[in-house]
Amino acid sequence: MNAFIHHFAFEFRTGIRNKQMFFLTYLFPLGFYLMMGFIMGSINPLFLETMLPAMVVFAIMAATLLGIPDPLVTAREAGIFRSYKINGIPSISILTIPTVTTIMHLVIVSAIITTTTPLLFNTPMPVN
Amino acid sequence: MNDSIIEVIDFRKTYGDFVAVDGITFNVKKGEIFGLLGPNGAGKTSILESLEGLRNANGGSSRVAGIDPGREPRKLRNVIGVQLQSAGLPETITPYEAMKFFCAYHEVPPRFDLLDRLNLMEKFNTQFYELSAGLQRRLALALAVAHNPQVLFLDEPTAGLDVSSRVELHNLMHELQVNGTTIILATHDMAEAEEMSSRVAILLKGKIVSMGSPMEITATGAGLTKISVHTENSCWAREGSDFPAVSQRTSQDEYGIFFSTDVGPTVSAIISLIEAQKDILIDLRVERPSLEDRFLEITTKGGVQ
Repeated sequence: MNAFIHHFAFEFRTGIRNKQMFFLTYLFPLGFYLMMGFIMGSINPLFLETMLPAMVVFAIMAATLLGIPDPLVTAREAGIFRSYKINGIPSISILTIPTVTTIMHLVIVSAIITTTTPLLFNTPMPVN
Repeated sequence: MNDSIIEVIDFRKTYGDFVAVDGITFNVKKGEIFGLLGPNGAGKTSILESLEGLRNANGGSSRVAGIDPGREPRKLRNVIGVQLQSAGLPETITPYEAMKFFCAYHEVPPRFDLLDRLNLMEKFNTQFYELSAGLQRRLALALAVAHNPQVLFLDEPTAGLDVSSRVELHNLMHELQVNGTTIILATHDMAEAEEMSSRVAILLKGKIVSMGSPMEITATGAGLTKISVHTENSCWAREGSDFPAVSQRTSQDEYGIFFSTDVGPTVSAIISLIEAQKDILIDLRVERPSLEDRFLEITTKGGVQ
């Protein structure tokens, strides 16, 4: 459990320290969200009705499709997975911990979008 | 009593049709520093990776501290320490985090004393990519030995290190050896292998072509011993001053340089000549062929012993 906590804490911090991951998880989706809100809101007011879920989906896609493959390839090339294997770090941890930390970062980004969209752009909350 | 901690018998590793390791047999005793030498593609990495439990052999058997690396890789984890050629650490991890992280998986308390010993305390919270190449290698070594492994695999441990770091690392290796750790050292640095290793194996095209102590290996070659002599009146240069077992001679600055196949008779004859000519000896140097000379002789000629 101790090992899991250290691994989890390190991977979570990596999402913020790694410039590429930070850009693709936070800066790019949030920058795009602000740009779309300010520009599209005035051009097409109907866009604001679906803006919140659209921006959350966009943040998830940016962080996963753009943000995950490159660090995975880099880590493999750098021998990080090999080093983990030699040191007895289970494959399941190698796979699941970065996934869980990415989900946590996405929850934070989604929360930022969800709480700020009604305040900044006066958009309605999505309903079923 | 069998005091071998590593036993490799008729070990074979292939990649498709390519035979990387071709039926080699060797053992390593507890507390030994065993050098694994060979040109690129000789099979060193395949052997190391198989002993580390990262690859399965295609034939033969191997045991590390009584554990079969191919069948019980999990059991092997706490018995071995590995310093890979590439550090194998995430670029944003700090030495502090790395020590806590790896020790946690080995279920031992973090060894911050090792970071202090390897002068990493100043960079305690510096991210890995910001460390110099030397500090990155020192961190990798600290992590490899943090759980007191019985067997330590070092792959090019001093590549890119400055002189003082290299000396510090060698001291640490000696200390580990004294404490009973067996070290497998794969290196291209012949001077390092000669200085550090109790025994070395030279690999060529997947076979062991020479194995023994560095002294044994250098003694078995056809390499010539270089004898340099400097006297006040250069009596060695006069006509008729031939010495036994000398196959080549030359001179440089004030020195006469003789390449001998049998150093004893040559040196005796040189000293006899100096005495007979009432010359005065200023300097006499005898340089045996180094492990590097012997390695080049073996690998360029491809000769099996």
